[in-house]
Amino acid sequence: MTDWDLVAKIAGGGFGVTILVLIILSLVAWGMGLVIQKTARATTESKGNSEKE
Amino acid sequence: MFGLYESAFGILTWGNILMFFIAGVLIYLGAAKKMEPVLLIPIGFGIFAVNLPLGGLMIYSPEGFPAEVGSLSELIRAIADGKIGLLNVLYTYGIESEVIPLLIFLGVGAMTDFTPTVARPISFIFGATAQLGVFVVFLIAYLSGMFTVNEAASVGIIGGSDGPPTVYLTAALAPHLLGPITLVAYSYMALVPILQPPIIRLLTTKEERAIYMKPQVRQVSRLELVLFPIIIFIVAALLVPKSVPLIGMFMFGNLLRASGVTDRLAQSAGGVFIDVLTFLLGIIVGSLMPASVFLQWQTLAIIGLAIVAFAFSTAGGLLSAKFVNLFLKEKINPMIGAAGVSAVPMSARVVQKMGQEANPRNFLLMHAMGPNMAGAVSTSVVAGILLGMLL
Repeated sequence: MTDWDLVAKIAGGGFGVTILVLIILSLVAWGMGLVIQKTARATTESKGNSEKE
Repeated sequence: MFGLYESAFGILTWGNILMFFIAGVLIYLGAAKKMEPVLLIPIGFGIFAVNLPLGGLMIYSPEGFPAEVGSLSELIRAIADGKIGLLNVLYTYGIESEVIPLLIFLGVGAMTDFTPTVARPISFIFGATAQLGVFVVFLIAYLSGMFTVNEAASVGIIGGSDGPPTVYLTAALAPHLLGPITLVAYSYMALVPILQPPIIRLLTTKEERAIYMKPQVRQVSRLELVLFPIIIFIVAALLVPKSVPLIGMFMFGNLLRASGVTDRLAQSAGGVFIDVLTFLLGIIVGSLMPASVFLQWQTLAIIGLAIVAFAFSTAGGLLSAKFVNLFLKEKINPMIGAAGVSAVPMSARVVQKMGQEANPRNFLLMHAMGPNMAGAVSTSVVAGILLGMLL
């Protein structure tokens, strides 16, 4: 007999959770890139300023 | 016969002979057509080995399962007595224990360059939506009544188009289907250049396929490449703990490469190490296909369902890229979403080729490699989610 609860949980819930987890990973990767790029830019600018002085 | 030895001719079945033919076709495809040769040749040889009666390399119980290997002390006696064969030992310690697929994934990680994924993190979304085929085929397989829930999940994971997670999940949920599922998964991955283009053409217009993307992705620093495997591993492990073995090995291998200071380890992991494991996997998978196990309706169903899985996964990735385009000022070529099915690097090459056909100025390979790599991470996440739900 078909266990519809299980079917819904895996086919629907499983796919939904997959999307959610990967969205979170994408945001984490994006955030990491943003922080590192900003830090690198700030470091370069402060180096440039100190060289000018 | 011949007075000295017991002959196997008398107990050779038509099923065995058909399996010899299948093994011959696989070796031909690998050797002559260069279709996944590193796997199809060992698999073909393994099929020969297990279908030769009385060969003793892989012994099966009367119920059709590989004979169990006991403790180490029993092992030596069992081999001596002919109760188990060499391939039984390799199967138990290599596949049943899940060691080989995980170590292969470590090697894959050491060969993977995540630069395009780090440069465009939205690739993860395409990797996720390209798992659609996994769940659609799970549904079809289970509702067909031919497969149990665990078997249906193992058939569905073929849609992720990634070898190690497929072997890992199937070994845990439906080890008796490991032979046909692994064979079909790897064979279809080699057929990506034939399977994907019609689906992509069906779901896109020529104008969409011709959308131009600047050839270069943004510059990615070494620090980002080093932190990426560590952070993704930690976050994925916290969200989906059952994916830790797969993602952990994948990201560990990648860290060896990205760190830039362990080149020797990365080269070893992505070189001879993965080669040895791959041919062991191949011959073991081949040995899981005696005629009595392989020649069943379930195998035919798996072959058919795998096409459906690939089609839905390709469509899922592609349609999500079209959806994302609704919100972007600078449009992306929606074909790069189709590369989310993993099958590294074949699906990215398909996108590159089709992109240039539609617009000779286009160079989409690096753009497609992002979703391609994200697809590998996504399939591991899906395997972890399915294991969490079913074990």
